[in-house]
Amino acid sequence: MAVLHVPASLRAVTDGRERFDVPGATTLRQVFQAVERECPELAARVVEDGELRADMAVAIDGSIIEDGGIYTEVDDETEIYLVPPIGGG
Amino acid sequence: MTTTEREYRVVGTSPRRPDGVEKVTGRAVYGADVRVAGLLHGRVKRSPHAHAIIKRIDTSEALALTGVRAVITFEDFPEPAEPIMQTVRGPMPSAWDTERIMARRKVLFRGHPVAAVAATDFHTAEDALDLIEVEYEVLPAVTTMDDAMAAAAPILHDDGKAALIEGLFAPVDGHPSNIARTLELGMGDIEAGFAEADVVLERIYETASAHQGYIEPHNATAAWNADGKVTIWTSTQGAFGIRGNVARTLRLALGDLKVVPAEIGGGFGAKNVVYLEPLAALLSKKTGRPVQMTMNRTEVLEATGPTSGTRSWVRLGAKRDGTLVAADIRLEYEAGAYPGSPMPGGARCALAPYLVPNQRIVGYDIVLNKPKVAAYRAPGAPASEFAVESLLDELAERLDMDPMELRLKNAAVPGTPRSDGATHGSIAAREVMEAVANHPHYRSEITGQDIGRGVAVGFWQNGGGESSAYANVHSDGRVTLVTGSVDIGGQRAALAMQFAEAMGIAYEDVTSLVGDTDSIGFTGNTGGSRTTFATGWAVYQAAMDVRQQLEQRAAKIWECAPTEVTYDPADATLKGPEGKTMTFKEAARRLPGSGGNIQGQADIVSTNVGKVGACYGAHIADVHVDRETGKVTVLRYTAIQDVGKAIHPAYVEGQIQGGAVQGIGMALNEEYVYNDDGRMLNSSFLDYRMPVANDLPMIDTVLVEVPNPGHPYGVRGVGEVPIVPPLGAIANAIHDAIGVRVSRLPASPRVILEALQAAEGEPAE
Repeated sequence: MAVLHVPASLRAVTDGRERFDVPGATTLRQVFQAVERECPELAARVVEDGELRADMAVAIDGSIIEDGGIYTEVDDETEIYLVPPIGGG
Repeated sequence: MTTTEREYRVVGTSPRRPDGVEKVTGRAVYGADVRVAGLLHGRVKRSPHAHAIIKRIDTSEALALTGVRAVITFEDFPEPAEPIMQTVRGPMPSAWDTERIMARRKVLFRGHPVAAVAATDFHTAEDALDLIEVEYEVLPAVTTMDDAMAAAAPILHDDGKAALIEGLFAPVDGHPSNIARTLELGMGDIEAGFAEADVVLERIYETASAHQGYIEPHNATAAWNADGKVTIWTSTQGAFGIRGNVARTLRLALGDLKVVPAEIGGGFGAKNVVYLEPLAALLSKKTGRPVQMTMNRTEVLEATGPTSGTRSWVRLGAKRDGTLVAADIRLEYEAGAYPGSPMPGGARCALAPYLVPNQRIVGYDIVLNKPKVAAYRAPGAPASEFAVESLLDELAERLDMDPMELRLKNAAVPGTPRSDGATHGSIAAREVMEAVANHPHYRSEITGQDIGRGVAVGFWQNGGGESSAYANVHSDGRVTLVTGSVDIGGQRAALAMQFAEAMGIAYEDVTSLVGDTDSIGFTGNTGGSRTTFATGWAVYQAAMDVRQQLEQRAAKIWECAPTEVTYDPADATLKGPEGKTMTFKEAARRLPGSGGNIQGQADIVSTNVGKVGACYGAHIADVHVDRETGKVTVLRYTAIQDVGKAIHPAYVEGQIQGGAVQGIGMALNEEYVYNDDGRMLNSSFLDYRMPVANDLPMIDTVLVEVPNPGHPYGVRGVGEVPIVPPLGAIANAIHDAIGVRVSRLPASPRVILEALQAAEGEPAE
């Protein structure tokens, strides 16, 4: 099942929970819909109006995805990390 | 050194830059060169105080001056349509961004705009500024992070708007705070990690605020037409970013605002920010005439973003054999007057060259009464990596290991987990470190008194995002390539080269242009080391579109199925059934008569089609330290960097040399000096000391080419990482030369003398 890892900075809204296991999801959107049912505060920190928020980046299997990424396909082996984005110069 | 095996015809050469002749003959049109009929000149009235309440503004005398056509204050700005704006540094009250551009109730830094005037000539506008009366209630200025974090510190943002965003300026111990945000990264078990360590070292490091130092000051020319359409010419790293910011600030529809990027005389991150554009636009709206505004150098230094002053506490634990087992880091970054320091970049990059299984990085974004910081080349990374690279050097000394041996022992490799939770993809940290260890400079002997050598490694990841490219094929076989990427470091050439390579045509047959916001699709800023990668992807895709259209056209001419035709870039020839061939030039000639001319097009999100690259640099510095004067002289300098595939090697070398010089400036000379009232004391290039050519030796470069598998030509962004290693390399070289550690940069003569005196047990004078 896909696993969403919660960074230390967001564990305050998950009561210290470090991961969410989401079976059967085929897109990132479905992962966050499942997370929203368990922890709406966490989902709200990542998704707004159906899109990924600008101040939170999502890494899938080590690579950070960008614009339009909420429809990125996932499978049961996918490891998802939430990371702060950084701006370049 | 190269691991590239593919053969290229254009990529990897260094042809003449398309903008060279215009620039060296002085004919290139920069923002201040824009001329429009009826042009008025604008100037900005700025706060002389770093922190004050605006009690009253009287513009009547200024308006009465002959030649003055309009004066604006905050009252002329609309209320934001949305209370919250999303930024890469987190959500922010929209009102604060407008107030940054033009102060409302309070001024928060010296140089904060409080009014602007448009007049028939520059001098009249300047004279009018003195006639604008502003009454202030001066407040205590918060000029250091210690002051900002003190329990009784004056609070900068006391308007209640922080409450719009959860976690923004969260109270500390029940009191209001100037700490805008905190960030925590990490992995593993930090306590167990340090318990494993045989050696534990901890130190505090500081870096000063430094300006990007571009030659060309900020400027903007705006024409607000009677029909409500607005055009802005400006010096920017991204026309679309400026369009979005101005449209939000002035509540304009995107389609009513055209931004034309002029030639740019340097940006280094700071020309992604809007300063003058909304002011010029509002003055134009009020006068019905186009208005041009430019800053002088003092305005640039006092009122546009430098990078953060920082303080980093670092604790490292290692086994006797040099294996790093734990790291604990606390980063404090000045944000200036509004939230948004590059602390997250510092946090993500601090340990990125290495595998550290147990780590914690906590960062603080702190506001104080200085100009809001802006991005500066690898934003945030130089400071945090200076701290880690300095302590690693000390650790190597403690363990009696060669500094590069220690680094190589812990080098990150593909798959190594990163501080931010992601894992490294294709990286070449090890290859870069090995190139250092084997380089003749590193292996050479040092001779002479008070001469030392230092090394340091740096990491940065290039950006991706949206880019657009249109390729207009002319009937003579030439191509005009238009992209949305402003050309700062040679993008026109690097992009034309990628298009020529994809088509198999000559570089000289491609004219490369930068479009405005009405003539090209959305394209992200030229920043974040993204352009050669991301817009390169768009250019490649546009070439594929041209090739496909040519195949269809040839099929029509040859009366066969398009699937029977192939475009071969090896000889730029269409090949069809029965041995039929048609060169690109011939096909172009036949376009008008076979269905019309064609244009290749691509509007892409680069990270959806490829993967951004991560980039490592490692620098070797030899310095001499004068024990009498404290002056540090750089004797020899070598910068080694993984560049993926260098599209235009001469440009790549230029980027590395430029970045290294800026990093050396941060290491040795550059700093903002403030008095207690928050007034910058060195706001000119005479007193703000940037290194110039005769301060430095030749910066030798070594291009390590490990191609990025996420790009058709292996591109990694190269522009930013070279500013990262110089701080650590220079500091480590100073220690090697005179035996004292410099933990506060710049290592100015005063800092060196204080360090020497402290080492000798004498009080500093």
